This record gives sequence, C-alpha cells and structure tokens, in this order.
Amino acid sequence: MRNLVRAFFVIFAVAVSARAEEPATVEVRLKLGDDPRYARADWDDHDWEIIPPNGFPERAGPYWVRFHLRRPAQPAKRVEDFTTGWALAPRPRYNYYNYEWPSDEPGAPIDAVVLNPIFSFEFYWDGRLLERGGVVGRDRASEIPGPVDHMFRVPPELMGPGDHAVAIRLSSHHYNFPWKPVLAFRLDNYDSRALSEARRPFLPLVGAGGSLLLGAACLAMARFVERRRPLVWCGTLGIVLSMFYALVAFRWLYNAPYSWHRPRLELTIGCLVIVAGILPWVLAEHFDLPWRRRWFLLLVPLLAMGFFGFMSHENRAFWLTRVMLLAAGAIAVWAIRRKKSGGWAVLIGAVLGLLVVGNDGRALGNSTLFVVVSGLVIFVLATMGGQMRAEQRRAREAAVAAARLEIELLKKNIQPHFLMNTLTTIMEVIEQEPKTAVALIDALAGEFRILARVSGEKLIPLEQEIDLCRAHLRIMGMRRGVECSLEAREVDMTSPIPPALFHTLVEGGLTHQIPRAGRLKFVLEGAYRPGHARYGLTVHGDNPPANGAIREGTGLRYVKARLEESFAGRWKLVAGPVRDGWQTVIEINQPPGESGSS
Amino acid sequence: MRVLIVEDEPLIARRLERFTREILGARLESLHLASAFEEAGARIAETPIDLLLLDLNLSGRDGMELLGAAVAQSFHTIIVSANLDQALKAFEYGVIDFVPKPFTQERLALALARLTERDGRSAGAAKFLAVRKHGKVQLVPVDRVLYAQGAGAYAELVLDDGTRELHDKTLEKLHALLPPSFERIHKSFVVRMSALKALHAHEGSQYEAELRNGLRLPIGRTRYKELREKLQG
Repeated sequence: MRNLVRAFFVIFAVAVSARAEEPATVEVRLKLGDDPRYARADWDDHDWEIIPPNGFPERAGPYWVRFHLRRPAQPAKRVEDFTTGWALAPRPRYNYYNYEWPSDEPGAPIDAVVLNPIFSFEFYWDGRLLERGGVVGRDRASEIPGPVDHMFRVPPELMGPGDHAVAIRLSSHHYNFPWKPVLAFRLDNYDSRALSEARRPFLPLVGAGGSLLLGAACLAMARFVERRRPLVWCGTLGIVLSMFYALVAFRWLYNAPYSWHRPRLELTIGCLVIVAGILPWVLAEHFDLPWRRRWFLLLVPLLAMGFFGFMSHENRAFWLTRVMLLAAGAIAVWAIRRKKSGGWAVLIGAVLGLLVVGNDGRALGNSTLFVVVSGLVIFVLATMGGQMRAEQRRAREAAVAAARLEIELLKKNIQPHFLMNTLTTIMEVIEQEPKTAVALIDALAGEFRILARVSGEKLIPLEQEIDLCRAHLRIMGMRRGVECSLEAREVDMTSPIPPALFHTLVEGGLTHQIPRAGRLKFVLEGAYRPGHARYGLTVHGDNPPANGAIREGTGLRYVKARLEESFAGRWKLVAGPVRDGWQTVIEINQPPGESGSS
Repeated sequence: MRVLIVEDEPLIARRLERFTREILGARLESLHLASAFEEAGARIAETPIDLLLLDLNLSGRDGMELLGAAVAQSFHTIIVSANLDQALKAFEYGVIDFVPKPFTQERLALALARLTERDGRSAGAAKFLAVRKHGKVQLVPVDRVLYAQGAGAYAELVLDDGTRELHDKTLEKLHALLPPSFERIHKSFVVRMSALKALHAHEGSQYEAELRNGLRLPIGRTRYKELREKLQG
C-alpha cells in the first residue's frame, strides 16, 4: 500500500512538470500601428520587433504580426495533436507554437490552416486575405470579437515550395485572460481535421447527457422515493458534472466570441472544483470517516490551488481530477484497513481513474470523470439499496415484535394458570360465600377492562399501570387469602410506561415471594430528573430459599422486550434481593423534548 | 384411603378437600393439606399415603422433576392443574388422571374412581416409568419393559435387555398406569402382549407363557382362557 501511495506522488510530479514551454521555431514579428501594406507577401519586416508566440499585446490594436513559413523539401514528421500523455506511454507533445510545415499524408495533403486566436483578426497568406475573425477595431466599442476556432483552406497555388509570408492584422480589446494572448496556429489536412473536430464534442456530450440523467434520477429518487443524503449528493454531483461537460461541449457546438472563452473555462473549472469536492465527501459519508469535516478542510486548499494555482485550464483540470481521485483513493485505503465493504471497489476505481486521466491529453474533452463519477454513483446507489432493504427488514421485524408483545400481553391474562385458577376460586366462593364471589368477579372484570384498554398501546400513563397492578392484586389477594397491596410513592402518574411492565413484576413477586404474616406489600418508588426516570419496585416478603440469582423467566423477558421497544438502548434493569424482600429497579433515559406518551 | 392435597391457593385447596371428603366418605382414612410438594416430602416419608392430588405447573424443568419425583413413589398421583396442555406430558410420566381447572365434584369423582374401582385404569398411558435409584429419579421407557413382577409392596420391571428395575408401586398400581398392551397373566406378572411367543398348557391345570426370548412365566388359572382368546383374536 505504501508503494502505491508513493507511485501516486511520482505520477503526480511527472504530470505537473510535463507542461514546460517549448521554444518557437519561427520568428514572430510585431508592428504596432495599422497599414494595409503590412499584409503584402514581400513587405520588409526585418526591423519589426521579435516577440514570443505567446507574447502578443493584450487589450491593444489594431496591430500587425508577421511570420514566414518555409515549405521544406523534406518536411518534418507530423506530430499528432492531443498527446500530453504521461502515464501508460509518454508520447511526443504537439507544440502549438512550433509553426512547422508538416509532411503530407497519403490522400491527406496539407491544405488548411487551423487557428485558435483569442482576438479579432484578418489573416493574410502571401498577401491574400484568407480568413477574418470578428471585426478588428481601435477600441472595445469598435472591435467585434470573433470566434476562437477557425479552420480554412489555403488555395493550392499559394502552397508551393519555398517561403510563404503570414500576416495577421488584429486587435485584442476584449481579451480577458490574465496573461498575454497566444496564437495557436498549425497546418493540417482540411478533411481529416474537420472529421476530428466534429468528433470532439462527442464524449463531452455523452458525459453531459449521462450525468444529467444520473443526477436527475438520483434527485427524483430523493424527492419521490426517499429523501436520503447520498441521493441528494449524487444528484448534485450528476447535475454539476453535467454542467461541466455541457460547458466543455459548448465550444464545439457554438461559435461564441473569443471574449466568452475565459468565463466559460472558469465556469468549467468551477464545476470541476465542486465535483472534486463532493465526490470525496460522498465517500467519506458513505464509509463514515471520522473527523471528515476536518479532513475536508485539508482538501479545500488543494481544490483552491487547482482553481487559482495554474495558468492553463488543462493543468487545472488535471490537478483537480487527480486531487479528487487521490482523496477517493486515500479514503478507500482507510476503508479497506477498517474492513469496510466496498473499499476495494473504490480504490480500484480511483487507481484506474488516475492512470487514465490526462492520458490522451484532452483534459476537459474526455469522459474519464464521467466514468469515475458514474461508477461512484452506482456504487453508492447499490450500497444504499442494501441499506434500505436492511432497514425495511428491521422495520418489519420491529412490527412483528410489537405484535408479538401485544399478543404476549393479552396471553398473560387469558393464560390458563391465572384464568383457570381464578375461575376455580370463583366456583368455590359461589358455592360457599356468594358475596365474595361477586367481589372477585368484579375485580376480574376490572383487570380485563384495563387490559383491553392498554393492550394495543406501546406506552400508557403510569396511573393506568398502577390501576392494573391493583386490580390484579385484589384478585390474587382473594385467591391466596393474603392481604396484597401496592403503595406508590413519589411517582408521576402521567409519565409513560410500557403496558403491564410493573404488572408483570408484581406477578413475579406474587409467584416467588412468600407472604409475611399474611401480607404481601409492594412499594413503587419514583425518582425523576430531566430526561431521566427511575422506578424501584420492592416486594416486602420472604425470599424463598436458594433464590439468589435473578430469575430470567418469560415475565422478565417481556419486561425487557417492552423497555427495548420503547426506549431502545436507553434503559437499565437491575433486580435482586434486598433486606426484607426483592427489588427491581428500572432506569429510563429519555432525550429532552421527546414525549413517549401515546 | 390416605390422601394428600398439594395446592397453594387456600380456596381451591378447601374445594378439593370438601369434594374428596364427600366422594370418598367412609373410605377416607386421612386427609392432609400442603401448599407445596417439597413441603409435603417429610410428611409422606413418615405417614405413607395412597393418593396425591397435586397442583403443579409443569412448564419448566422444576415442574417435570417434581412430577417425576411424585410418580416414582408408591402412591398414585392425580394432577389438578389449570394448564390442560400439559396433560399429555403428565400421562406419559404415569399419573392416574389429570383434572383440569376449574373442576366440578363429578370430574374429581371420575378421577378418584380410577383408584377405588377394581381394575381401574389410568385415563392415559404412561410412556415412562419413574424409578428411584440411589436417591434419584430415573425414567424407564415403557417400550423397553417386557414384563413386571410383583414383589410385595414393590414391582420389579424386567426390561428387554434383561436388566431389572425396582418400582415403588405395587404391581396393581403399576398395571393401572401401563398401556392396554400390557396384560395381567398372573397375580404376580404383568406382561407385554407383543412379547408373548406361545402359551403352554400342562397337566394339572398348569399354564405357562413362553416369551420370545425363551423365558417362561406362569399363567394364572383363571386368566388362561381370557388370555388365549385375546391372543387368537
């Protein structure tokens, strides 16, 4: 893993350093001022100022630039465009300022000029006007900015061997880059170049459409299915990435004025900054990375550096993409070490992305980002689907458990041991002492009435619970011939309690505790502070012999299940013998403001 | 008849006592009440009883152990319980009847009749016989019993592998618990019918039953004819 990280940094260093400027092979000469004669092929320009091809005066003009091209007997080998690769196989890079005359390809002779000026111009070849971009002017008002991308044929009679003079009349009053204008110029075959130019918006459009669909689908799911953070993030990611690609494609679809070039690029890079920020954040949230806000603050200067730290938008795009993929890779490495599922998938995606990005030199035009982001979105959606399934299962189980508890509560009171023994006692007292029988039946009816009322509830007021306990104690007292009572001390009669909670504990006390002097006394004590309730139920009687351990019977299981249902993880139950009986203490923590009363 | 009632609810105990006195009348020699079976242990050891009316919650290990301890003794046990679903288990352990609560005098009389009548049989059939061995109760599956031989106040169970276990009940009481596939062939022998191979009649009205394992047991003179009919039928 350490080697992998080291490899990342090596690749990084190479990628950043691969963009040094290269010297021009043709002397470009500048003349401030305007004279139509400057266009002539034979105009003597030897006293004009020599400037670098990326050193044109900005926000100036009209002025003239001239250079001479020589068609060699043995032309140089043509170097392909878009070859800024670094990763898989370093390839020679086309130099936009190397105004050489390339060789003819079979069936594709050199017959055209490709020009990407960020100014308005008139282009003269051997004195003949071949192309015009916008209208050259003396100031911002009189200049009309023309488009950035130009390609035009040079008449064959002007393409003979020997010297050819190129003269450009230009003005750059609408120029808005922070550096001097450059002239990207090259000779090419018109047909093959037209084809490759036509192909250029293809991948960005695929990226734009695909990302838009992906983002819209995520947002629609978040809106209409379930509002979940990962969905909203993925939706935003998709929409922003779609804007990024749309802005990239825009150049090839509309002949916008050159003054739009910079704002478009800034917007494009801005979108990329957002994408490069959101993607690692989605992953950090997905893997539940601790301190992720602080880690994100670490990412912010790197993203800022991507936006402000480079001249060329290509380098900015490369930097941002790589920062994003490195951050994703780092999170994935952490996830793998924590044995989180999906860590390897993300790491593989990040490494593949790092290997591919910039490999064909088209920083903005390729679809690496789209593939990486779609992969991530699919990954997040798949994981979320799994989570949703698990949540549904838990919800179903909780519903089943609640139903089971309700049934258990009802069963407690129609359970034969209670009901049949009570009925047997009633039969006996009917025959022997009818008045007692009436009281017993009344008590039984009383208990059943309360039960019928509370059985469907998850929580009931303590008052009802105490009524239920007392009804039960009346019956059991008569059955056992023992004086049974429940005393409530300092309890809040309105505080919510799962139904039959103390009733169950009272039943347990009746079963296991031996009455003392014909009495069995239960005492329920309450103690409250904000967000916390404590109940102690003590049964005063004699502990039967060998009764040290807590009895985990069905009764205690019911009590715990009920507490867990209503106060998941926020309750405590301790039971044990005390000096004159048995005590059960229940503590419930309730977050402030949460009223469990039903 | 000497009766012990184990019931922890006084009104129900009173009801059981009242009904028992009315049903048995003069046949009742003694009647005692206890609220738990464990408490009654000492009393039983001192003054033997013929019948235990036991209220037992059979759910859980303790209940089954108590039941085993009760049915291993010399007396018959009638369970009086609210949990009817445990009746089958109780019969398997060898109780003479299971009276579900709430009960009437008629139902209790029916249970008591199984003891007082001649050849009274259990309302169910035991699947196990509880024998006390070294102070512990062991359950012997009835399927393994070939025959039982009376030995005064006890009965000896002879199992299919020839081992013998001593049961605290008399042969008569034991027979009352065994399934109908066991037949009394002699005043001292109760045999599983399927273990019989042949009946032999000797001179002087001497009859013998031959078991499949070759063992021969005497047949009572009065029972031979009935036995032969049952075998042929």
